[in-house]
Amino acid sequence: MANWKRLALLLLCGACSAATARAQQAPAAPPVANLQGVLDRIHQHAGNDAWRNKGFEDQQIEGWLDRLAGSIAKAAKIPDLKVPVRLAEVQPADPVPSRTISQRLIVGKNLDLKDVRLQNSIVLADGHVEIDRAEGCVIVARGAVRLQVSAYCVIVSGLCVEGSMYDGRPNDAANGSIIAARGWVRLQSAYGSMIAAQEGAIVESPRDALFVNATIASSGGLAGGGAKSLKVPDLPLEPLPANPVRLKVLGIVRPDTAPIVPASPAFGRGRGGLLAGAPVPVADLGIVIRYDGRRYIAAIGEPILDEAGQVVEALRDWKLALLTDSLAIFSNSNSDLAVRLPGNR
Amino acid sequence: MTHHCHWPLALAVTLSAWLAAFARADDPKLSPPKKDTLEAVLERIREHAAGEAWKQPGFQDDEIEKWLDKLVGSIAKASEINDLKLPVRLKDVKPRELLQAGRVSRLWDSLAVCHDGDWKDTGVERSIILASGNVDVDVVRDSVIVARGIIKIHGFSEGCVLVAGTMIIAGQFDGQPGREEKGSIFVSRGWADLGETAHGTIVAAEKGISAVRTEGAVFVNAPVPAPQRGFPVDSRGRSVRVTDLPLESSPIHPLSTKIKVTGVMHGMVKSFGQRGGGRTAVGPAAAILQFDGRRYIADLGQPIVDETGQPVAALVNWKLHAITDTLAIFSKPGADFVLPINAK
Repeated sequence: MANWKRLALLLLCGACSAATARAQQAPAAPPVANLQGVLDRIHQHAGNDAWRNKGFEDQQIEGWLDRLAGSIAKAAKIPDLKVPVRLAEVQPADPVPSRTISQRLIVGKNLDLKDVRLQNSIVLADGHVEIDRAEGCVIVARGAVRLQVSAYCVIVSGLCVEGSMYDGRPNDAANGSIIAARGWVRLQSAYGSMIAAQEGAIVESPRDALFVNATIASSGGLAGGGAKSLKVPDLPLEPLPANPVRLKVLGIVRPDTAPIVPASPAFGRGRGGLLAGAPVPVADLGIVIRYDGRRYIAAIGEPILDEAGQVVEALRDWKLALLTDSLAIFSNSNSDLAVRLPGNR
Repeated sequence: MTHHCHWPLALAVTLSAWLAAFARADDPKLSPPKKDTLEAVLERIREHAAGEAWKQPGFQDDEIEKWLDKLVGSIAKASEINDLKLPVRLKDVKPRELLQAGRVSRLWDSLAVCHDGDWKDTGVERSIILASGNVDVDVVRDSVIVARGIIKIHGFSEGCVLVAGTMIIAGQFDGQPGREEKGSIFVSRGWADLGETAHGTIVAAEKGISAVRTEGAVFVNAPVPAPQRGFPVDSRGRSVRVTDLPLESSPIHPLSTKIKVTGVMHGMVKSFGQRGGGRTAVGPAAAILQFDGRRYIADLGQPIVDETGQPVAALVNWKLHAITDTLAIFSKPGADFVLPINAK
């Protein structure tokens, strides 16, 4: 009897321990179905400091990234294609300008890393991101992702990705990144990149690049060797949400009349030219928009004002966040809006 | 006629006088033009443009030609270019009506007298154009153009005498490389923009000359432009002093002190001329103005409207006529003013 009681007690204790252990574990969260689910989680993380705790995990974000990479890997028959770095491998860090960052996790809103070289790191942005170089990184942003050079990354944007120099490594198709955007992707050169862009991709020089669920309109001439279209039926990337504000960009406001040309390889617009004595690139001042039958000027980073200098009430929350070579991107606290610039392809 | 029948007439006269005064409220008060001035020539052109006499065969205006001869002669003497003369005279040309002229791709041996002359898609050769407003041409060779406002060349020019009350905007080039005798004479009371390259061009413009590169150009009563970004604008260019140049200063319009141009909008614009006519591309399409505490967007060639699209009452009839690298040129019938583009 004593033995029976002892056994019963042990069983009871064991059951209690198991129940307690189960209670301490978070219930298995359902996988997020699309990028918006990932962006919503990033929005939460950027709003608090939990991501700075040791051992920070987000299985839903990682699960979605695995599905993104896996769906392309399966369709492209590249079984070793995977997410290059995981949350378990990185340490939280604050962005530090002008340095190389390795194996770090950076979470924030708009992240200005344009002087930073990232290696094996994860960037989760509830806004826009600018990066100098990224290698072996995961970058997910609600807004635009702009970088100069990337290789072997997973780069995901709710809006657009612009690479002003190249992705991958010249003459090596094995180091191209997975680049996915609900909107547009625009790259100067792509070596072995896998590009999914719901609104269209433009790559000046695509070599051995895969265009996911897209028809290749132009191979870019001789420079476009080996570009292929790839059908990925289970790509977990939804279309770009409808613009919440209907406006049109009529023109770009600049301080002078010099022709606008892409200022590759540097960011932004300018008069281009890398020769000694060439004019210094000129910054855009803003854009002229038509909204609700009226024309307004939106200056970068400023409230949108009417001609008398008063804030346009219906656009009170919106600011022109940035201008790329092809898009004007407006943002408010929790969403973005991309509008094509005039004269765009 | 009874006495009370006169009051509507009196009212109409008063009203029209008031309207005229209102219309001129922003115009400079000018004294009558002095002899031997461009203003006197422009006044004659205004009279010709309002009438039909110039359409008669054998039309002559000795006053205008005499002034042009004096202009060219004074430059020839000072610059020691003895064979400098008008490329074409009134006796060499036949009248061509504007409507007729506007439909041709080439205008030659012709005389056209008009207010605004729009030949953006037309080549002009051995012709004389006298305009009481502005003139746009594509390519112009061996011709004389005198315009009260702005002369804008969309293509190129050679061997011409161009005289503008406000500004000359050259096209891609003037003259011919290696043949400096084909350079034109550009004379402006205000400004001159020599375009991309000027070969052997002679230029007089009191308010300012802008040049990217010139070859053997002659700068009248102005220095050779300073080197730009370390490169000389013209290693063979020279400056000449012409003391008897029959050219007065450009009048200053009062609006020019009240408006600031704070930027340029680059939008879709149509190009003109043989080299790309009809194409649309991104280019300077409007000027951003600060006027009377408000910011306006003045579209090229269009009435100046507010943000709702309604004309700005104080700027009614004014249009942005042209934009150069550094200047915005505004025009209305009978008046112009030029503003620097200053984004600061």
